[in-house]
Formats: sequence, structure tokens, C-alpha cells
Amino acid sequence: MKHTPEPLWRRYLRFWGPRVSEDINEELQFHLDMRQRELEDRGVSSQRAKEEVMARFGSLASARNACLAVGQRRERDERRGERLSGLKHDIAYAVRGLARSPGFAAVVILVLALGVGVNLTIFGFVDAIVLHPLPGIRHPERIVTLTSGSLSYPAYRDFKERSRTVEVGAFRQRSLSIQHGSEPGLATIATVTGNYFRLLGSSAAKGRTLLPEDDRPESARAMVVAYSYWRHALGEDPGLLGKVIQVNGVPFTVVGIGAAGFRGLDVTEQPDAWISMAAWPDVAPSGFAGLTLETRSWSWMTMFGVLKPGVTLPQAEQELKQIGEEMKQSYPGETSRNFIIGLSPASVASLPGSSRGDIVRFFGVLLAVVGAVFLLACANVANLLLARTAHRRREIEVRLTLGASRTRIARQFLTESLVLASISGLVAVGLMMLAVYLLRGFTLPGGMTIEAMNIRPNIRMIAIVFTATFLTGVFLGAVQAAHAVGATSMTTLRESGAAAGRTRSPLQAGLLAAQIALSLVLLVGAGLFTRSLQRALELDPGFRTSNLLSAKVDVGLARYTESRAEQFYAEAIERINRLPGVTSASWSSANLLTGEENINTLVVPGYVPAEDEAMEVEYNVVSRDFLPTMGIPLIRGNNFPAKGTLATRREVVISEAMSKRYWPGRDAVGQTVIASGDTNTVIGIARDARYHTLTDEPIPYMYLPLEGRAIGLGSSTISLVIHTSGDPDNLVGDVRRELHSVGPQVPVFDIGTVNLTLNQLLFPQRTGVSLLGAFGFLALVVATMGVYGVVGFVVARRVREVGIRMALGEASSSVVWRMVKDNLGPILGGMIVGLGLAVLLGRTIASFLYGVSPADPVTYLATIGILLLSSVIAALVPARRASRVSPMMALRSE
Amino acid sequence: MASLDLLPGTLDAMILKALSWGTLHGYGVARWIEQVTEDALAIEEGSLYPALHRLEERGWIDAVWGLSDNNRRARFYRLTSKGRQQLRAEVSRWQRVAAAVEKVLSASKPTVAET
Repeated sequence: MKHTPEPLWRRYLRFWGPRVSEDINEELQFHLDMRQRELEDRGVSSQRAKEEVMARFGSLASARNACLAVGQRRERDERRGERLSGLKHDIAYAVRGLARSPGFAAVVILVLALGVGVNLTIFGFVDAIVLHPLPGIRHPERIVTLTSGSLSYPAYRDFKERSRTVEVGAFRQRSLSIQHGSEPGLATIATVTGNYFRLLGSSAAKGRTLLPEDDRPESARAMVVAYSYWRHALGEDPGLLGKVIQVNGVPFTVVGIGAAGFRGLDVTEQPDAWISMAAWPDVAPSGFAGLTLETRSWSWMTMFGVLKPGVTLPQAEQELKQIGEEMKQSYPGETSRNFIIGLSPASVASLPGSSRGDIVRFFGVLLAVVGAVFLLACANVANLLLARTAHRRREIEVRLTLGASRTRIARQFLTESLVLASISGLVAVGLMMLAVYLLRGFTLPGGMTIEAMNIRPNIRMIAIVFTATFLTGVFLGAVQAAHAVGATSMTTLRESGAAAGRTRSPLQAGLLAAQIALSLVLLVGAGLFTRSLQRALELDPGFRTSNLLSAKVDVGLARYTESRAEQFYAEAIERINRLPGVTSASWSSANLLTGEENINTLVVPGYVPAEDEAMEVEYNVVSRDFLPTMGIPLIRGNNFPAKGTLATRREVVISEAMSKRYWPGRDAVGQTVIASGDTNTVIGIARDARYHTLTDEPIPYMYLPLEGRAIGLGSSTISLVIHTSGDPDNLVGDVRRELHSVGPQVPVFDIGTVNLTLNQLLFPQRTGVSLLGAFGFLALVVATMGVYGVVGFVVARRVREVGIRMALGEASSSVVWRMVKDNLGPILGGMIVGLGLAVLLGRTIASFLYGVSPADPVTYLATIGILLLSSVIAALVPARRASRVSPMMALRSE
Repeated sequence: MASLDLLPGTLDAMILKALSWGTLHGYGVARWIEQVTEDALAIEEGSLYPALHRLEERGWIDAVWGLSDNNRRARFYRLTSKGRQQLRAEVSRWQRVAAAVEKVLSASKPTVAET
């Protein structure tokens, strides 16, 4: 027997495919022939031997079919393996190719990773707040909240008893005093109905949750502490269960710790502890005196529900509306006129009503911005790759000539781009985590920090990265393949490089224009926000904004009586005024520029209001030194007298705008105003200030003396403002200590310098400036690089032409201009498109801008100037370089 | 001569054993088994080939096209190292089965424990 060496069978295997059946026939035939011969050799007749052979062999057909089945199966596996190894080969080739130009690969990867990374980061934010805001809740999609605002306890009970479509629960979150050490602090306490935890499907991390049994007036006062509060405020006390924590001075026994991450239905405010609704009367702050759970006119709870199986949201909404209508008729006087029932999915409604629009719009703008950055990155990288492809034409031609198919080469480009995109995707995830880390202290409108959002890569984000990188890879690969395989004719090999690809292709021009357009949009955005911040910073709030310390206290949470409160206020001011470094201090019921407001009805004797004029006035209850402390000057008259008497309670200081409005051309001092039924005498007029936002027009405003007005209904929170001679931060500890010594049970919170508040107020501007500024700058750099790259590419192809022109005596400046001019088309085209887009998009950010029109001509002109200048410079540099090459060198360059 | 029926699963083991002595084509395998068993087993020769191809698919044997003694193209099979391991496993399994069956069949009297 001769034996063929190993490599041969591999070759046979390679050709196994089409010959499977023939090979089997041959093998079987060999067997039959050998047997036949053996029998014949033994002297059996040919005919007998044939019969004997077949008898021994059995069914030839079934043996053949069985072998064929095995063969076909192997063939399939073989092909799959070949495809896989082809892919492996392509990837290896791509990686080798990229490794040969590491600088190019790094730039491409970085640009793409930035594009994907910023999108991923913003998506992470959106995902955390808008798309997936209800961690720790079992079936968020089945949970609905009533959008009409709040409801009274009896109304909740009616809904609960009557609804057939929704299982109803209710809660209310409120800052209350909490005490587990020596000093009371402030905590967000959620007062919840007994079914709250069951409906939300949340279990306890330790101990148990609150049960319906806890929600009875006679039950022991039980509390579930939030996981985060247990960790951060209670030091993960392992023996917390069974301990007593006081809320507004009432002892509660801790029965459980909530599940980690569970924050109920309010995304922006993490409750620190949950107590039962039935415990509310015990802990209600003194301002709530006279209101009981049974007060139907007192709407204070947020109602939510779980849709019963098979019920759709519209069905449930219809039923609840019906019940609401019936209730309006049963209790006409007691049901609020704003009693409009509407359901919405809890995931949407859980954003706080006031900031929901802002947050959604804010992220809408951000998503648009980062989308533009992404597109810009793609266009830029596509152009970079095209320039590289042009350099590789020869390589491609050679491979085509050597028999590589066009699909094969297209596949190679695709693989290469996908490899690039995948690496970028990985880098992008890293960039995102870095961004989240760097931005952790950032506060969003609504008061939520980025850290609290707890952003981690999740399945949706991975899907985004995967989709983005895959699409990018396919796009880039297709662009290159179309360009290289389609446009490359067999002429390249024959022609010299100078003639091939003399100018940029329309594709490159289009990509260049797209880059210019996108960066123009981003730069306009950045410019608008910068101008707006500038304006906002120029605005004079009308009061002192530096060297101010502010703190809040709530005597109601300590359940103080009116006289005890009055004593506390007076004594605290006295002691704080004695602290070294304090210039003056005052109480104020509404902190300026925080959105806090108090409104009174108003009657001005002698003033006839217009038909639709609302006779209301905003007021602030302050102690004597408020105006000097805040640096608001008196224009006329006097401030409140030093010692409060009964008379001072009837004296008010009014704003300039109020004086002008109700006593135009007359002296308001000494006049009378009737606010909420009380008759007051105007003793002074103060200069106007901005009370709510920095852009307010001056409004009528009234300062009422604190004496005798200690506690208002509902909220007894009052601010202390202190003007300091030095850094206010140094006084935080002293102030806290003084307040504690005057009222040990009074919680002190939100202590800090007032500047912080102003910073937060300018949040959209500052964020807009920093984000859009960064993105705009990035866009400018990327687009400039794009122009440079494309012009450089075209110029490099035309070195010979330049040489000829210069040899023929054309001035180098004229040559340079020709080069630059040729590229002005896409640049100007891109600008026009960009301007159109910017005008369209500008409208969407109008509400974030202060004192700047979204069509601000200064911004537009500056942007166009910067962009034009940088693109012309980017084009000039390579063009000039080409013109400096000596004609002889240029002619010989091929 | 009365042929004995083949127990299921034993054909694979016999093929592996046949190839453990060296490279053989299908007919060679058939002849070896025939000679060793003195033609006592009734093997349908046709069933040999699907078995060979299956063993090749599993990687226990390799197939090579070569030339036979009479200069005809034939497919030769060879045991791989994986196949050698498999053969060892099959042999020891067979011996255990055979020993057990032997014990049962040669037992003289049932020995059932009283309870």
C-alpha cells in the first residue's frame, strides 16, 4: 500500500464539497470490487460471486444514504468554519492595517469614542430620570398616578372603596424633624397608606415594611427607614430594628429598612423614612392645627394606583373621572375646584410637576446637541477614512488585479470600520463612566444631583453603544467601499497618482459641508448661552448677594406655641447678632430668588382697580433688620422701629413699584393698605428688588413685621439671613450652635451661603455655557481638522498642477487662492444649511435664555466669523505649503 | 456456520480496534474482523461505511485517499489519538459488561438475602 502524505488529504477535504457523493460511490465500489475479486480468486463463478457480495453487503442504497447524510452534515460545518476563519482573517488584516498607522487609528477612535461617549452619557441621564425613574418597584408599567395634584384623605378613601379598575394608595412626602441623636435634623418623611409597600411591590431589606395593620389610629407607631438613610445617616447601625427614632418629637419604633434603591414614586426626592398615614395627626407640625385626616377640603396627598389585571389606562381613567364627578356633587363646598382627575403612568408623573417640563426640555436640548456631536464625529471620521482610502487605491487595485473579488474588498473595508467602531465603543463606555464620575456633584433643575441618579451601564445603554457603533461601522465601511471599489477603475494602475482623484469627490464635499453645518449649530448654541449668562450676571438683583449666610428653621416641627416661637425668634436674633463677624441678621418668611412666595389679598383705599385687575400683593414677613441685612435701601420714610409694639404690627414697608402703582405721583408714606383684612400704615418705601427670578419686572411687594405673625398655616419654615463681615462659611458652625441652644428641638437646615442659591438659579445658563461651550469648541476643532484634512488631501493630489502653474509663472498667492477658493463651496454651503438649522433649533432653547433673542445677531455674526476664519486658515495652511514646493520638485514628485 | 448477531454499539469498538493496528481501508477493516472472528459475526458489510464516516466525523479516525495494493484509489482510515482514548474506554466498558453478564449467566443459585 502506498500512502499519500498528509497535506494531500487536506486538499481533498477542501474539495470535499462537490465530490461527497462521488467519493462515497467510489469507496463503496472499491469494497464490492475487492470482495468480488477475492471470491473469484477462490474459484467462485463470477455470477455466484456477485450474488454473494451483495448478500454480504446488504442494502447498497441505505449504506450510501447514511454516508451521504454524514457527509453533508460535515460539509455544512466545514463551510461555517471557513466563513469564520475568513472573518478572523479579515479582522486580523484590519488590525494589522490599523497598527501600521497608529496615529491615524488613535485619532479616528478618539473622535468616534467622543461622539458615542457623550451620547451615552446623556442617554444615561435620560435613562435614569426620564425613562427608568422608579427603581425598586415591581411592575412600574402597571402603576399610575393621579395627575390632578393632591387629594384629601376622605377623597382617597372614596376612590379606594369605589374603584373597580385600580387599587388605590396614597402618600405625602414632607420635610419633618427627625431625632436619633442629641440634635434634631430634618428628614424627608413619607406618610403612606397601609397598602403602599404592597402596591409598589417593594419588600424590606431588613425587618418588614409597613402593613395595613400599622395604619390604624390605635396601632403602635412604626417606621421603615430608607436604605440610603440607614447607610449614610445612621452609619449602617446593625441593631437599628427595634430602636426608637423621633419624628417631630413623637417616638416611632423602627420595624424595617427599605430595599436598597427604593425611593417610592417621587424621583427627585428620596424619602428618608416611611410612617403610616394614621400617625400623621400625632406628628403634624403646629401649623396644621385644626386639620385632621377627615378634613375633606384639605387636599394634601398624592394618590397612585395599580391597574387591576386586564384594565387599560384609559378605562381606569374613565372610571376614576366618573367617581370624581360623583364626589364633586356629593360634597360641592368641600371639594376643591381644581378637582380634575387624570391618570398618567407613574414613570412619567413621578417627575415633580414644576420641573418636569424643564427637565424634559433640558435633556431634549442636550440629546439634540450630543446627537449633532455624534453626526459631526461620523462625518469627520468618514472624511479621514476617505482620504486614507485614496492613498490606498493602489493597494486595492493590486488586490483586485490579483483576483480578490470586489465584495471581498468591500467586506474588508466593512470589517476595518467595524473594528474601529467597536474599539471606539469600548473607549466610549470608559469615557461615559469618567464623565459620570467628573460630573457627580452636578445638580439638575429640580435639585437632583448626578451622583444620586446612580448611573451605571445597563442593558439599554449597552444596546445604545452596540447600535451606535454598529451603524457607524457599517456607514463608514459602506462609504469607503463605495468610494474605493466603485470609483476606482482599472485606470488607476495605468495612470499616475497625480491624475487619479485630482479633486475631492462630491461625497467628501458633502461630508465637509455637514461638518461645517453641525459645528455652526453647536457654536451658535454655545454663543447664545454665553451671551445669556453674561446678561444674567449683569442683572442687578437689587439686594446683596455676597457675604450672606442663610439657614432655615421650622418651629412648627418642634410643635412650638405662638408665644414660644416669638420668644425663640427674638432670642436667636439677639444671640446671633452678638457673634463676632455678624453685621446684622434677620428673619424672613420668603427667601428671595428661591421661588418662595406669600400672597395676600389687598384693598387700597382710594384706588379703583381695573376690571380684570387682581388685587393681590406679594409680601414677606421679616424682622426689623431685613432691609439693612439684605442691603435693600429705603427710598423714603422709615424702617420698622427697634422695639416691636402693638403699633408696629400695623406698619408696613412697601416696594417702590407698589408705591408707584397705587399712589402714582403721591407720597405713599402714611397711607393705608388693607391686606387680608388687616389695616396697615405704610411707614417706608424700599427700592425694588428681584424677588423670584433675575429677569422679573419690578412688582408690588410688601414687608410685614414678624412680631405677632409667628406661624402661618401649613408651613412654619422661616429663613434666617445673616450679613457677615468675613467668609460666611466660617460662621456655619457658630450659627447652628446658637440656634440649637435657643431651641434644642428646632430643626435647622439648608444652611449655607446665599451665593450658592444664585448659582443654582443660573443653572440652565451655566450648564448651557459649559456643556455647549465644550461641545461647540470640540465641534470647531473637529470641523477645522476636517477642512484641513480635505484641503490637504486635494492639494497633495495637485502638487504637479501647482508645479506647472508656478513654472508657467503664476504667482504663488494666486495658486494658493485657487486652492482655497475651490473649497469654499462646501464650506459656504455648510454654513447656509447650518444657519437654517440653528434658527430652527434656536427656538427650542429660547426658554433657557435670559435677555438674549435666539436669533441674536451678535452671536450669529461672531459664529460665522469664527467658523469662516478658522476654515480659511485650515485651508490656507496646506495650500501655502504646496505653493512653496519648488516647481521642479513638484513635477518630479510622481 | 451459524452467524452470531452483533450487540448494538460494538461495531464502533471493533472498527477502532481494527484500526489500532494500522491504516486500513474499509474493505480491510471488514476482512480483519472477519479473520479475527473467523467469520463468526454476522456483520452486514454495508453498515460498516456509515459507521466509519460517523467515527471520522467525531474525530476518532482520519480518512485519507491513497492507493491500494492493486493500485486502485481507496479511502484509508487511521486512528487518531482521540480515537485511541475512545478505544481504551470502549474496551474497559465492554470488559465490565462482559464480566457482569458472565457472572449472571454462570451463577448456580440465587442468593437472596432474607429479610
